[in-house]
Amino acid sequence: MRVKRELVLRQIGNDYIIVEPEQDQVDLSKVYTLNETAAWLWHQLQGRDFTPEIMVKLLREEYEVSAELASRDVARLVEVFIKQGLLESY
Amino acid sequence: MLTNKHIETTTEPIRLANEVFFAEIKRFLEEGKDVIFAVSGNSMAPFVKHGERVLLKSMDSVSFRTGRIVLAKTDKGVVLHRIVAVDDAVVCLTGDGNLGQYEWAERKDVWGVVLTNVERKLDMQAPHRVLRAWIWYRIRPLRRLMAKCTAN
Repeated sequence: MRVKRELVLRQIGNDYIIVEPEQDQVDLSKVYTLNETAAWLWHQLQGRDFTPEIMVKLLREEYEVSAELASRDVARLVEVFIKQGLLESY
Repeated sequence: MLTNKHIETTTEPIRLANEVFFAEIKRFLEEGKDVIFAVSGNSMAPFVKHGERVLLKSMDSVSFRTGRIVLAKTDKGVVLHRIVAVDDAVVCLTGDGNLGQYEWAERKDVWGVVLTNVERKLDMQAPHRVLRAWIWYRIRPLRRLMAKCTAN
């Protein structure tokens, strides 16, 4: 899978939001917020194909987290990505 | 290194501090993009109610006109209110839903103007709608009286 190229991750204060700017318009009533970990992962996934396994691997290289917990979080995150249409292919 | 940090995502309406949220809107407007956002609070009711989305574009010279709804940094904070008076240097704003409060902003601190109420698909610059808002504004003494009666 791959994240949509046009999505923009922005840090506002302590929060991270994903917005989908269109040609000349941006809808800020429809934004997705990520915490720091998710935002970090989002950065790593830019412009590349990935699988949930790759996401877990990336997470565990950066954070001290059990494989079980990482897999669970990744599964949830992927579910949100798909549901919200943030991926261009999966 | 962080430990046991869960990934969290949410698609709840964002609850960012107003200040940073407005700064973000301003940034997009400056980039030349129109911005849609959900209004919080009822100070512009009945024309824009809490939770309704509005479409905003950046200011140009013709937008400095009474009757326009603008997003501006005023002496009382950032507000989305209607222009009731304007001169070369400053604008005076008030909320349609308010009964007496005014805000002042320098022209350079007026960031954007409302084109439409996205929720109800209303052209907020249509003359008849601006006229209705003006009447609504002029009958403030009556509205104050009614507010008093309902309060008692």
